Amino acid sequence: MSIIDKKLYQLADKYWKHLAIIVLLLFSFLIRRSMFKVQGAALDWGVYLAPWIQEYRTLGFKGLGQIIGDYYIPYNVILAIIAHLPLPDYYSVALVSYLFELGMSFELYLLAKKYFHYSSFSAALIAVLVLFLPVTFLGSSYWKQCDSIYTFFALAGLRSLLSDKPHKGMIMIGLALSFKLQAIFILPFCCYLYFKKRNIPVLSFLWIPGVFLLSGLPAILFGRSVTSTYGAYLTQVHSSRFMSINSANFWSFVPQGLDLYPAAIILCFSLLFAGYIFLYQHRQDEKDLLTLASWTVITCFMFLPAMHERYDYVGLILLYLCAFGGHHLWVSALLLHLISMLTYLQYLLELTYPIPVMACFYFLGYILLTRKMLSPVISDLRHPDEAS
Amino acid sequence: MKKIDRLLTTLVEQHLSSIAFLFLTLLSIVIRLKFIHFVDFNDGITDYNTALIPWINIYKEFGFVNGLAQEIGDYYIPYNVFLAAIAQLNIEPCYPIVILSSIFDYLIVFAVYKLSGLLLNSDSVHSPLFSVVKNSDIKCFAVVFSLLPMVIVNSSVFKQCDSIYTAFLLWSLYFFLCKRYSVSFIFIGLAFSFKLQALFLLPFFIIAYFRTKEFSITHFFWIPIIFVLAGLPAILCGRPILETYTVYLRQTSAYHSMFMNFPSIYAIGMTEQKVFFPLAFILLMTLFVLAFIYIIRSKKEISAFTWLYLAAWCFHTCVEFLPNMHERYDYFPIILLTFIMLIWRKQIIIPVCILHLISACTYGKCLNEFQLNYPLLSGFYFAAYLWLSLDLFGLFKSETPSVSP
Repeated sequence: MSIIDKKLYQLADKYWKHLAIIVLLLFSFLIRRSMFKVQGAALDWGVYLAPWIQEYRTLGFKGLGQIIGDYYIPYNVILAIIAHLPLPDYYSVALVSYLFELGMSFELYLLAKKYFHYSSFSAALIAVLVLFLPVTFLGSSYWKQCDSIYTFFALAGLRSLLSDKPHKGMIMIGLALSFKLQAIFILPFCCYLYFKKRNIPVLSFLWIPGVFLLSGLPAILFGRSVTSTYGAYLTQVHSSRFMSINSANFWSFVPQGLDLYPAAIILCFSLLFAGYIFLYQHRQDEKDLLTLASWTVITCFMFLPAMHERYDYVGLILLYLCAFGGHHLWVSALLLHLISMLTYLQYLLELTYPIPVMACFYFLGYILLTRKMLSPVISDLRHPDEAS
Repeated sequence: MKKIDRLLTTLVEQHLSSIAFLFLTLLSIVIRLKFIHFVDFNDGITDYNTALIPWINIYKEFGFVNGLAQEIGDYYIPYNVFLAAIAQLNIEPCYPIVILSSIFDYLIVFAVYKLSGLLLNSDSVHSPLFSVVKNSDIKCFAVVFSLLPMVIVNSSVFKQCDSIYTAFLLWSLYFFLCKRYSVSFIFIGLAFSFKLQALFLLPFFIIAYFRTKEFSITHFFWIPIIFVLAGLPAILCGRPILETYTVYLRQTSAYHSMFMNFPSIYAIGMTEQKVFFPLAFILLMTLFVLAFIYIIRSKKEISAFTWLYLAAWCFHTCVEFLPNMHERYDYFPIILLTFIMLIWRKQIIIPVCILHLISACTYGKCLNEFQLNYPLLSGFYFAAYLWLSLDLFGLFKSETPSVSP
């Protein structure tokens, strides 16, 4: 063996782990960088974000006192800041989402290390690999969405709740909700945790509306009316009456003209309630609870009306993590991620895929997730003697 | 039973394998001869009419030396030497083209024969196909590869030369398993001198370098050395040095598409080059980094079969995730995966069959101009790739005892 080979082997043996993580992080940035420049005129960037940032550029921070766009106040503050940065707007928007993706990745690292008992390197690898999921880089860099922001806070909240830090957890959930209304899908799980863990003070839930109210203050200070500030999400909810909007969920099987809103909401909550009741008596560790959190979000996405693609984002990220827990969730995770990716591509690239076919595969993935989540119940039903 | 009947049945019983081998070989030769004159069935767009014949006509016009002094076509020098030579003969070009490709088809068969003998006689892994390893049985098994539809159509109908670099790569892997690393890399150099795709096997050798620690990084230099030597005929005929050795650079810059009649992952609709071109390369490198991490961390000894499986996967990953991939670019991994499936791993029969079928569809488009549903094929192709990937990397967790090559 030559000296060169010996040296190379020594370097590889000593530094390969660090190098691998650094290289993967670099690759994750390079993937996104290639998409930063996409400024689809027909996409959310061209239709919404770019004009909003332009308005903030014209009005300055005083723009916060007006109704610009339909996001709640914290993201509008970010847009107002971006309007004054010396970088191209599209670059800044995507970069902000990427920074929160890194934060989201870090939360996954902490969760993987603490609750899945992975080594530091393995946990870091799991965390970094989340940045290569198509729903992440397509969502943040191509689409310039901010799902990573609320997901970061949602994951931080869940981690705090599981670590017996209820106040911090609820503050984080409140922050998640202040960025995107979809964070509300986590709330049923938080209610379940309240009854399950029995160490979450009920008053800690008040942090959620409290943080929400505090987040609205910048706009009120700049002169926006209280009702229009705090009613931002009501406008969002009333803006469409379709059962399903480019999402491969349960309602993509029904004709879109039908208005089954009340039935859909009741169905969703019934399923959530049934799932929680079945599992309540069974022992659940943190991995099981995270799987349940993922199932909660995906159930909401599956059965609530007016769901867009991307609304299952935090559920998909949690499912990705849980798939590493030895829970045989890989098939489910793969199906849900692949179908979600196709719905993203359908919108971003103006393609036409058969949504009902995709919905079948998505539903299959959801059934597998549900089955895995209910496995303690199924096991007890099969072996009642052991259960008793 | 009459004496003649006893004679016939005894003859067949004692020499069944040899008879089968001769019959199958004869059959494979007859099929090739039958197809020599077929080119496009119905307004197809094969390279024979659109590329090879025009190039041969230019070599006819300029002669051997003057022809090689110019840049004709986009192959590297060795295949151009062959084209220049046959241009000087007074025969229809399809004959020597098919004969050369067919010779390498049989070199593939010979490589399969040698690999089978090496792997089966090492007692390292039990093959479900051969309960008792006999030389004559291995010969029959090997010659079946000359009858694979993809192999016949590629060399005889399509008149392509994918069998040339594939044969060299298989021999390279054979010598790798024999631990004759210099010879192994010389064969890679030869493969690279015929087709750029040979480089798709490099990631495998990089992983093997760090995992086995049994050969030097200097062995990699055989590749550029052979490449430089292979270019000498053109330089001796007067072609400029830079122009000679940059043929592949011009080849890669000539095509700008996320996919070209090959249902890679991008065929589901990711056709915007400016966005997805960089993504393709980064995604590919990411997959190799992950494979590297996984294999280096695994403490399991890697069997010879697993090494071959890994080689096929590395090549296949390049074809699946790189842009500008044509039909036929998965020729080598399909051959190797078919070998692995038949001789060792029947669990992958479905994905390997899917690869063969999809390959047939893409060949059919060129030969017969029928329309393909690329997104659908891409979905199936990716599913097959995923199946194979999960199967391969699951082996690194396997408890089955295995030995290194």
